[in-house]
Amino acid sequence: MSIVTGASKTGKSSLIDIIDFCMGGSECHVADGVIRRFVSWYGVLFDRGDTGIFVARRNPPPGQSRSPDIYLETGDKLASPDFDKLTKNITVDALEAFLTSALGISENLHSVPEGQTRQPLSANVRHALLFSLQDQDEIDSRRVLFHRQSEPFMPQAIKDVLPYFLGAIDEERLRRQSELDNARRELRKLEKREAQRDAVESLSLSRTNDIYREAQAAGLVGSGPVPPIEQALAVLRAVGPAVDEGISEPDVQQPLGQLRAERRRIRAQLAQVREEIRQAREIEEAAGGFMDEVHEQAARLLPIGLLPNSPSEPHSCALCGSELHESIPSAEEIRSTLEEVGGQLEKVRREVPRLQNLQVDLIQRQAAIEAALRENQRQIDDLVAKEGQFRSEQDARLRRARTAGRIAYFLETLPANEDDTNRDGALDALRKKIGALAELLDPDEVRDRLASIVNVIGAYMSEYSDRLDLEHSGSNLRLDIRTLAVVADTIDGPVPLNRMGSGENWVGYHVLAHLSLHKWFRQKRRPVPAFLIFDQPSQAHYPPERDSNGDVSILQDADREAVYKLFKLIADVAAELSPGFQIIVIDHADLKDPWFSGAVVERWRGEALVPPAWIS
Amino acid sequence: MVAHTAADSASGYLYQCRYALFAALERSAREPGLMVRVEVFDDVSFDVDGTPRELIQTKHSRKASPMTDLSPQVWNTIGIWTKRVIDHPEELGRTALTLVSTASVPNESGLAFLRPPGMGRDADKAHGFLLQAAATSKNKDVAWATTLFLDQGPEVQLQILEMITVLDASPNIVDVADRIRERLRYTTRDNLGALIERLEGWWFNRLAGSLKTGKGATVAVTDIDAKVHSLQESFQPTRLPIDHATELPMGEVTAKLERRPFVEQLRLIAIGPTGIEAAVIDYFRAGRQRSRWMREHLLDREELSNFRDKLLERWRRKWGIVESKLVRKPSEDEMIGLGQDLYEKICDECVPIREVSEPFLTQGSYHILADSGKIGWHPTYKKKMQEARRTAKDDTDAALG
Amino acid sequence: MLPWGDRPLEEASLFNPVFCALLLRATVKEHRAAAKTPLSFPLAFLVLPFALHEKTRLALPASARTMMTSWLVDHPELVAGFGERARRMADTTREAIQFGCHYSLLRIEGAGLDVGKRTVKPEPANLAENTEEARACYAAARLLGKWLASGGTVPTVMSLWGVSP
Repeated sequence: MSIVTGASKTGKSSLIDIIDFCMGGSECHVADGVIRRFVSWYGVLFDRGDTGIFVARRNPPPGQSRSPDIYLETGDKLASPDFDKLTKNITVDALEAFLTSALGISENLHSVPEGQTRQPLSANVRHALLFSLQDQDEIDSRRVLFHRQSEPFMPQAIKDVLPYFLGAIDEERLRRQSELDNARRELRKLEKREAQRDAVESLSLSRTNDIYREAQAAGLVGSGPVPPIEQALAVLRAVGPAVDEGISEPDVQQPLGQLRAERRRIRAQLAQVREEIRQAREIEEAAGGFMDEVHEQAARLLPIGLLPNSPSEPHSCALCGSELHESIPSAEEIRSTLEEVGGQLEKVRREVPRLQNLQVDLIQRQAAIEAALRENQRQIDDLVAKEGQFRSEQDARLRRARTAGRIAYFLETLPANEDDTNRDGALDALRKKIGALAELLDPDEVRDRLASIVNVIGAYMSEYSDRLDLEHSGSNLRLDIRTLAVVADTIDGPVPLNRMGSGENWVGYHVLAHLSLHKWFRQKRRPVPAFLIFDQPSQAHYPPERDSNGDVSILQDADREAVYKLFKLIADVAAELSPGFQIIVIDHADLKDPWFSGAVVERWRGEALVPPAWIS
Repeated sequence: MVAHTAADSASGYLYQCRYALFAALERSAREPGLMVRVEVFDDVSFDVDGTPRELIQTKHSRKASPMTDLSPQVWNTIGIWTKRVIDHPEELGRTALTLVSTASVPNESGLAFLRPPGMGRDADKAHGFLLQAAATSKNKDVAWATTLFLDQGPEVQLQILEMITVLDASPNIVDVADRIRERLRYTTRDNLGALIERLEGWWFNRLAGSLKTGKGATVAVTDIDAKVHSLQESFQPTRLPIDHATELPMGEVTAKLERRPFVEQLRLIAIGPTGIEAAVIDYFRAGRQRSRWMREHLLDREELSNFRDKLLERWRRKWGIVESKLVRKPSEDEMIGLGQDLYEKICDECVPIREVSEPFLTQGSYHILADSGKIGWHPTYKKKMQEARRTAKDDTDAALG
Repeated sequence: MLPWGDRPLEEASLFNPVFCALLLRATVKEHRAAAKTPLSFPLAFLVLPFALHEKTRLALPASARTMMTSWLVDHPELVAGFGERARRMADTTREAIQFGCHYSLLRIEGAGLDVGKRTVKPEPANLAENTEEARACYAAARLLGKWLASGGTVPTVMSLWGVSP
């Protein structure tokens, strides 16, 4: 145990920030003030027993928090180098890697459980440091157990690395994990290829089905359901290129032309016959009417036959006996008229039946011509149909040829599937391997180990708590890795730190937890810095404002007792774990007990981190 | 009251014409003897030798609204058909009456039950529906039709409905064009579009004139067929070697006629069978008409001789001109030409008797005069007719001897 | 009157003097049978316009029991044109009388017309070749003979027919 005691504002608390910065911190958190103003380099000397590591970083210029200048020195002798030796000789990243390796943090990777998106986390010195520092705001926090736990994303990072630092995950496991990851990657690759292959295959299958049906439609293969793919492909391969069967086009145009010419002739005949029928009918009708009239005329002339030819023309008037100045018609004259009329009548009488016969004849002829026209139409239709049939046959032939071409192309482009069995075997083997690895990497196993470790640490905590007067002293205490808190398992159920009252409990449990953790770390030689810094562990009983030269005698008995017990525990544990372990206590309390005063390495009363001489 | 717009009637008219063409094309193959007649009012009819076979009323509607039992179009049509059946009872049950409408008719309506057989036809049910529709119709425009229909006995009503076929949801004006195209697809393979265009052009032309005068047009379906084929041939790249000589009319009819002087006169000036046929008809009809008027005492006896004198006078003047040309000693061909000129002029004449002026009466009366030898056409007709009479007499004597 | 040969055939045939004389003879014969007197000469001019007029013939009663006067009253439309028609037919009637007398079908008896001495066999009205119309003409002529026999005085009959002597 190394105690730095002193008054406020002497730079005690800045020690943690300086150590953090020199151990690869990206930013310098040293508060603005004397230190930042009058210090040019911060340096930390690490004692690794056999060797020493000196790290120095240049104080960032005012107003800035970063500085790239780092000086690293390692060597047998444990001594700070001269100021003028300080110069940049390493980068921040390299420093981090160096310290990580120096700590003995092996290759490790916290693999992220499936379904989570964060980057896999590899524990390094920066993570290890989290368990070694407790600044004055953290040590009495009811909510935060670890250093920087309140910063964003840090709780998860702490949870991720804790199993490693606790040693729940061994190196073998990590090797297996990476193997499993590789196997899984490989499997994914194979499965992806497989999926593609399957897709191609199902595509091939559906394409095969399509083309098979097409071939059926074109009459290239037999009908019926599509057989299994191999069989279907065999059938399709057997199709071969279409052969032009060489059916010549039937000569339709010429007979069609003849038929049409004939049709025109027939039609002309029909038109003529129809015209003649019309004529005949019209004449017959007119002649009939005429005949009736002539018949009437004849009827009126007919009685002349009853009279003899007159021997003499009448010359005197029958009424008055005077000379007739107009001759009256003679019987002869009338008789000749009757003859004329009779002749006409005779002619018409002969004509009408002739016209009627002609009509009968013509109508029969018309029917024959119409029949011929129908027959002609039928023949034309036949020819057209024949031509249509030829065309559809030709179309079918073309379709067959086209289909055959498509089949050939399809077969050419069919994806080869030569390593079917091989592929399945590889996939199976890989799956088995993954299964085995996964079994080996059974997260339950990690959980079990972790639980066991946590139990051990809890036991340490419970044991140490006996030496402090805390609320749940004597209860079963444990570190809850899930919540990053100390939990007291009481008969009334678990009580987490944040539900415990009073700052003394909070500080006490922080101290207990960290002491117990480091006891485990040391026992198991875990790669965590073998130091622990507590800033102001007495603050719950001896707040800085009551500081009186570090004299705790001013406190009430209980508080004084508590402070004593706390420091005593720290001193005891430091003694228990040494050599190879250091607890640095920064506090204004300054106990008079020899075990305490013997441990004080700095007493800044009137003095400070930055010597007053520098300031003036 | 439905206000008909110009567009409605124009599309209705076009539709009617197009439908007639389509219907004619459809029927031409089955019955080449059909004549298609397109009337002014929505009417398309088919007849054979003057006997109607099918009367079609086309109703083109540009709106999608259905045609119901109460539609004025329906009752106008039924009214027209009822009247027709009353006027021509011989057509009862013989003539097919088809109502073609682009609109559809609602099911469970009288019209629906008049659809073609196989489509739910039931004339009895239709009768019931339509009687009710006729009785409830309040449309004044069709009151004449509903009344006329209701005035008929139930037997007649049913008979009329039996004759009616309703083709609803028929192809519209555009669809009909497609149907025509479909119909003609088998006739020709090339230039179908151009062919149909020209066919329609020809068809509309054929109808336009007659419809303008309000008389309707009659076309033989084979004429349409002929047009299709001639169009089709005109589209062919190379004409086939076909004898295009048109056959002359055979003159069979005139051959059956007696040798009459007036016909001989026409033959002297080389009038063909058609001209002779027309002359014979005119002769008969004029002879009949004159005699009839006389017998019925509608004409006084001197009126006929006055008419004759008028004709003679006209002929004589023209004859004078013919004679004046004879001094140049024309050849026989030239003389025939002179005679034809004379006859042509005479044929253009139409001399009224009383107030009646009928060409046949004038022409027939001229033929009666020519028959008696009082007039003639050929410049030397007198001499030639005498020779002919002598030959005929010799023939008769020889036959008797 | 035109000379026979100049007459249009229809005119010559339909109004030929034989037929007309025979119609007159039919009327006269009926009149003589009923009235036992010759037919008053002016009344002879009623025969042809009566018997040759189709519409008149068609309107005639089936039997002579219908009184001429009442028939005339019932048919004013037929009476209307009768006078004019009779006047136009006067020449034809005169020719028929001349012809009839010359061939002894008719004879002049005082101021009347009587049946001639020639016997005609068969009776022209019963000729087998007669048309319906010809028969109807004879029948009309006979009916008129009966009617005129009981029709009253000549002026009465003439005025009833709308004919001025």
